[in-house]
Amino acid sequence: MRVGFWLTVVLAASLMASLSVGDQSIPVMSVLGALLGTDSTPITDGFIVTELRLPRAVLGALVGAALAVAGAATQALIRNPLAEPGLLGINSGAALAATIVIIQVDTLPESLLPLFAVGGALAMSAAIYALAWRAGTSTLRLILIGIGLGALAGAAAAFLSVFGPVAQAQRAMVWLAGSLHDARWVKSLWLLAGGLPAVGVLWLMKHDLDLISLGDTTACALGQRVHMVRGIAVFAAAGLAGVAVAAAGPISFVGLVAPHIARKLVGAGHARLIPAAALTGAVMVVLADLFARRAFAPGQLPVGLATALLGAPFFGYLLWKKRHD
Amino acid sequence: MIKSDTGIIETKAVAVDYGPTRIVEDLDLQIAPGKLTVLLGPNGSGKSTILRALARLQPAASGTVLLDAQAITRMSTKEFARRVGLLAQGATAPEGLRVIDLVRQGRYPHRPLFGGWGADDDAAVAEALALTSLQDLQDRPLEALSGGQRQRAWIAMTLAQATPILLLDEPTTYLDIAHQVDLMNLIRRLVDTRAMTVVAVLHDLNQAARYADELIMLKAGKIMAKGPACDIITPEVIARAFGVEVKVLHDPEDGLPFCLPQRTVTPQADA
Repeated sequence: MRVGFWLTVVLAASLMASLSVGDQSIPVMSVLGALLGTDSTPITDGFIVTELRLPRAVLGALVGAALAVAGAATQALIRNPLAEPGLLGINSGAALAATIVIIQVDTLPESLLPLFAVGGALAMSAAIYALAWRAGTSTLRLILIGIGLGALAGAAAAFLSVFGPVAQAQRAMVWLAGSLHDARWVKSLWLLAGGLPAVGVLWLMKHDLDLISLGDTTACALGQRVHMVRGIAVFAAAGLAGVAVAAAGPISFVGLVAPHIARKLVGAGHARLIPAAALTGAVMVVLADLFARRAFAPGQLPVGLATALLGAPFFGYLLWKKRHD
Repeated sequence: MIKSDTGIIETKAVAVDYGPTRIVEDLDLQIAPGKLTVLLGPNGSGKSTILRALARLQPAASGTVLLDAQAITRMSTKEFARRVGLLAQGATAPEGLRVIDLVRQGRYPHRPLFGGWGADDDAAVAEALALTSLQDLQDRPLEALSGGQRQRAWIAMTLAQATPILLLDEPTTYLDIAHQVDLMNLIRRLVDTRAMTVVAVLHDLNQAARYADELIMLKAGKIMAKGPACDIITPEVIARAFGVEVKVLHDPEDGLPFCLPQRTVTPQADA
């Protein structure tokens, strides 16, 4: 619980920094004033904090939390510390669907993009799951088919971008990099509406996730209905990561790295891991977005690039540490 | 922990396939309740497959496995797991998992859906940790333990499951001799003091002879011989099963047989 307290403090500090730092630097007291709506706050400061920066910071935190919880569940299911929600087809499915919508923007209204992205993510997960099914699912088949279908969808998205109109292809590229620059409250609401039920399902399954991470044989010998548990958890994780990708594009590495950090902090039990991973993921994306906004200011990096810049070295470190396994 | 049904497990005309290959054929096997039974046999003789069939991990292609006269396929997964525990071979745990967290997993079949943890769960976990002498290590992560301690932690998990029947797949493999002795003595104690029914697959004939109440020698998926050590650890049975000529000696104190391999006599049939 102490870890949870400190993670909450770190998240609050990160959010505060992200509200205060920018082209227009706003002192912390004014940020607090703007949040509480006190009269003494300058109107411009109030506007910048509550209308421009707060929706973005909140969306970043929610996206990070969703990706991290989905990642924690995926790692329990795939039983590999290098697993992340992308292995379940979320990124490739969402990316393909989003590319289709953006390139074909004349015929499809772009407001449907998030819906298509979630649909693409879930459809891809379902396809992977169905193709991996052979009198039950095995982890290895899920991984192999996930990689294969992911490559296929990536190729299809690349094909569309190459032969599509240049302007739209450019926008598809930006979306594919993962970005919070178009953060609006409605996106956070959609994310909460889609993500909370999925988090609730995973939370109810926390003991089952603990058990399934010991392997199919052990889980089965202890009386778990392994295939049912894996099926439900795969779709809860895919849906959760899917709504996050729909809100901000595929932000890489958070689903991989945040659960690892959380596991180091609170151990492997999901009753503590799920909330800790959520807080860690939220902190990561909020800070990465702050970095993305300020590193080359006034130019902005997509936040997905920032998480990749920070996450790739960590990925290398994991591989390096596991080189003797 | 001793229950009215001590757990009688038997197979009736069971056949088990692995892919297109039939591994076990027409197996009629009664496991003696409250005893330690050891499955022996050469590689590929079906020892582990039979154990997996008893544990409901491997469905029988034909025939039935019965637990207390009830077909195991007709029980719910949790109900079965409250009565039969299994220690699988080479189980792995995620990084950072503590001993106590692993042992607590043993209570899964006793817990309601989504939940609750009761006083009897705590008691069972404490007892399992005490039996395996792991109390002092309970907060350590598994990867920080030695191989022998880790194996004890997995045993503790199956003990927390509090089943009258325990199935062990090569529990002593990869352990040094001290840990092997500790483990076999613990298993013996569970059988003697708690009347647990234990079925173990072992490779070491002498270990089997020393600890088991009953030995079952398998060859090519069939029971070749069954009985106490003095009937099974004989030059004839071992030559037929393994194609190895052995010298059988007897412990001067308790009369238990042990064998010294001399040389192979026939080429082994298995792959």
